[in-house]
Amino acid sequence: MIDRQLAGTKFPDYNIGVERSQIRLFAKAIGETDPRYLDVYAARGQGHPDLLAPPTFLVGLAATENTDAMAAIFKAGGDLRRLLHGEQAVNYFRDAHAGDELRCAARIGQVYDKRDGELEFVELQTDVTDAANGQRVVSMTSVLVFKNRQV
Amino acid sequence: MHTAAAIEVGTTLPALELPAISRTTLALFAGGSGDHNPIHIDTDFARDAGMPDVFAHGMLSMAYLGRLLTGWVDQRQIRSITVRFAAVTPVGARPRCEGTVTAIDTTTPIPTATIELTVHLPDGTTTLHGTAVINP
Repeated sequence: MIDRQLAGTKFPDYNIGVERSQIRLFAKAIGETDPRYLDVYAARGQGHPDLLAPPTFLVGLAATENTDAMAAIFKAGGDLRRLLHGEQAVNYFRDAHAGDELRCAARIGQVYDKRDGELEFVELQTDVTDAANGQRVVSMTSVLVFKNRQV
Repeated sequence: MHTAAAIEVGTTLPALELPAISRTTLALFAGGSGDHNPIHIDTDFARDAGMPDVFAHGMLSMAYLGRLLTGWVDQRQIRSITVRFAAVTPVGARPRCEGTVTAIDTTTPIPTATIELTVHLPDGTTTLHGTAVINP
C-alpha cells in the first residue's frame, strides 16, 4: 500500500542539460535516421540551432534526473518490481535542442487505486522551462502503476 | 510535410513497421532514454519480478509513435501526445504504429487536428492507445 500522503508532494526544482551525444544515442535506439536528430549541420540547415530533441526525448531525461521523486515514491511504499508505466502525456510549447539547459518543476499529483487496491496509481507532473529565459518547453504527466497482485 | 489542405478526417498516416525488438535495442534505449529499470535489461531481475523475460520500455513504443508523427509532419506542429500503455511488448515483438485523423477543429485561432494512435503486435495485441494533437 502506497502512503496516500505522497499526493501533492512538490520536489525542489532541478536542471537538465540536453546533450548531443544523448540525443544521438536516443535516435539510434529508436531507429531514427532523420539527420535533424543526428547531424548538427543538417539540423542547422533546417532552421534549428543544434540537434533537435525527438518528441519524447525529455520524458526519460527529466525522469532520470528526478531522483527525489523516485526516492519519495519508493519510501512511500512503491516497489520497483511491481512498477509499470501506465500513461504518459506530453504537451509541447517549444522545441528542445542540444545545448539547452532546462529547469524542471516536478510534483506528485493524485495517488489512487483500482480493483480494491490491486493496482495503485501515482501521477507525476513535470513542467519544463528554458533555464535561460523561463520559456515553457514541455509539460508532462506520467502515471505510474504498481501491480500489487497478479491480476 | 503536410498542410491543412492535405489533412482531413479519415486521413491515415503512413504506418511505421518496426523490426523485431532485440535485447540490444532495449540496452540502447535504456542508455538513450536514461530509464535503467532492470526489468527491461536484466532477465534475472525480470524473472524475480514474476515476468517470463525482460520486456520493452513503454517509452520505446511511445518514441516510435513520435517517429510516426515526425515522419509525417514537422515536429514543431505537434502540440501534444498522450498515450495509455495497454500491454507489455515482449522481446522479439514487431510493433506496428498507426494513426488516423479523427477530428479537425478550425474554430481556434490556429486549427488543430486530432490523431488517434495505436501500436499493435502481429498477434493482434494492442500495446498502446493514444492521441496526438497537431497544427496541420
